[in-house]
Amino acid sequence: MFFRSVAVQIRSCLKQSGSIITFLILLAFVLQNFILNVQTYQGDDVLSMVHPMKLLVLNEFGGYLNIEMFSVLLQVYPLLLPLPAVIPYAKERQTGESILLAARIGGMRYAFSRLLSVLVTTFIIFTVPFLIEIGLNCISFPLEAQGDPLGIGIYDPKYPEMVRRYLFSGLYIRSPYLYAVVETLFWGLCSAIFAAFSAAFVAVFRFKFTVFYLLPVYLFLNATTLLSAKVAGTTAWYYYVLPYNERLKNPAYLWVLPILLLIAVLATARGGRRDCIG
Amino acid sequence: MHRLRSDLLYTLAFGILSGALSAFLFVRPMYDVTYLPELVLQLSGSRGVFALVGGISEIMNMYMRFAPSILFEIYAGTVMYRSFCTASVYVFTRNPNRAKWYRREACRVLLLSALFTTVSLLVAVLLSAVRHEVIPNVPGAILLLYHFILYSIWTFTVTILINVLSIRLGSYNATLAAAVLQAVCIALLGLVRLSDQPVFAVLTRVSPISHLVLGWFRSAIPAVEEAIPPVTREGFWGFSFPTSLLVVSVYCLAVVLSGRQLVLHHDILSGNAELDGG
Repeated sequence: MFFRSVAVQIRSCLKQSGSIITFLILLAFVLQNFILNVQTYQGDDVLSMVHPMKLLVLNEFGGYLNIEMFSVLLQVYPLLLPLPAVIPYAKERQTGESILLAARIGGMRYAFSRLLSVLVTTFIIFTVPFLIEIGLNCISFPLEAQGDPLGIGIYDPKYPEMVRRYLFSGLYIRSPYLYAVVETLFWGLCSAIFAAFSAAFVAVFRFKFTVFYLLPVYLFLNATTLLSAKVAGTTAWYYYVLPYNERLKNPAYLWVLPILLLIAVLATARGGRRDCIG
Repeated sequence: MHRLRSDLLYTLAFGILSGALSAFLFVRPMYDVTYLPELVLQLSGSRGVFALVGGISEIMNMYMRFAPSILFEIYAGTVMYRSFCTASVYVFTRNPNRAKWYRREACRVLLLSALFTTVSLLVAVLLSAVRHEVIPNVPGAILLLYHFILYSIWTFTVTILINVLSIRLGSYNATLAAAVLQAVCIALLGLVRLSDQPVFAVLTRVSPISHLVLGWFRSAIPAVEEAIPPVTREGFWGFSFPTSLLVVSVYCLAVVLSGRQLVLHHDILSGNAELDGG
């Protein structure tokens, strides 16, 4: 019953206009980056080519105009996160539809099935476009290319130092292609947990305007960026979720995702216990 | 009256937050003594005495400068819209002349936007004066006035845009649309490095955010011209305050007039955008 309810909610969320819009926006980022890369590198010698996985849109130096597109992506990301699954959840609570569903399957089950559907839907929407890009780059660019968009050659002494700072550097050394896939899945997982953090507020608080459900994740992500401007070291969220970031990482990040998930679970449990009509 | 008081209180709170963040994160004196023009230029994108040159970190810093105003815009974005959500039939039967109602509400949003910018600037300057040695002078006061006028108009434009779009799309989708638009305009700052190409030069010139970067200004007033550090890149630099005021005002006027049309012709008996739209 629980998993059937989760499956129904995921299907329903994926069909919502919010999910489709988010998917299309992310796909537009991917396609523009791909087209610009093809135009830039067509006819180039394989020796001067950048590694196909470093041309991805999730790499800030990945393409000719990528700084601009990448900065737009970073700016709209906190705003897009709640769109596929959190906003439909909030609307369900506003319209009272949640009372009907909770009465059918139980308050706690409903709350947790909603949390799980938020996690899975957001993961799918934020992962698939970037997996498509990996496929497109593998088909279109020479797989033997080894260049780096920063201009650091693989025999440069700085290169191993840079690679060691990647999030899963061991995996990158073994297989850069598998690394790109795993990192994309990690990006999806982080997005799902950020969205679940937003969903926690839907479970506990009730706002008149749905836009206010945007605030928790928006404030959290931007606080990490603002802190990064002040504190020595790197706290900005995007240093940790992007695949080819060569900045030194703060080990505290390992705790952030489990803590956010724990907050989401505890808030959902509290929301599930609450009287629906109250 | 109660509504106006609560709007003013929230605006004050957002202004203080914005000013404090700007003072702590973006004002970084190059020397022991900071002159007021340098401080104002740093509040609008410069780093130390250097004008913005469009790197990824500068674009993200510019975005972070706008993050507190987005919070204000999310709040003030419901000032007009809330009349369309609750008891709209009651509101508009008591206000049969919608054009007059729109003018009054637009003035309220303008007042809040100007108050937000004033408080934000005051807090930023005062806190910076407490933390560092700031020397006020006439060119600094003129630049402060430019900053106040341009940023007030832009904040007002975005807030009105969110209000009128919300009537059609719901608060979440409207905020998302306005934020994406602003993100694209901020990202266009990065094109300054490619401004030797006519298309990119035009795009940068028509982007309203480019006209908020006071470090790119030239002035007919000799003292102000002297206070803005010279920039070496040719071909792009040299906005003047009247031109920038004109550009930002044109966008503002376009949004206000289209909003008026939308408010005049909106059917108040149609569905609730908050639940249908987003």
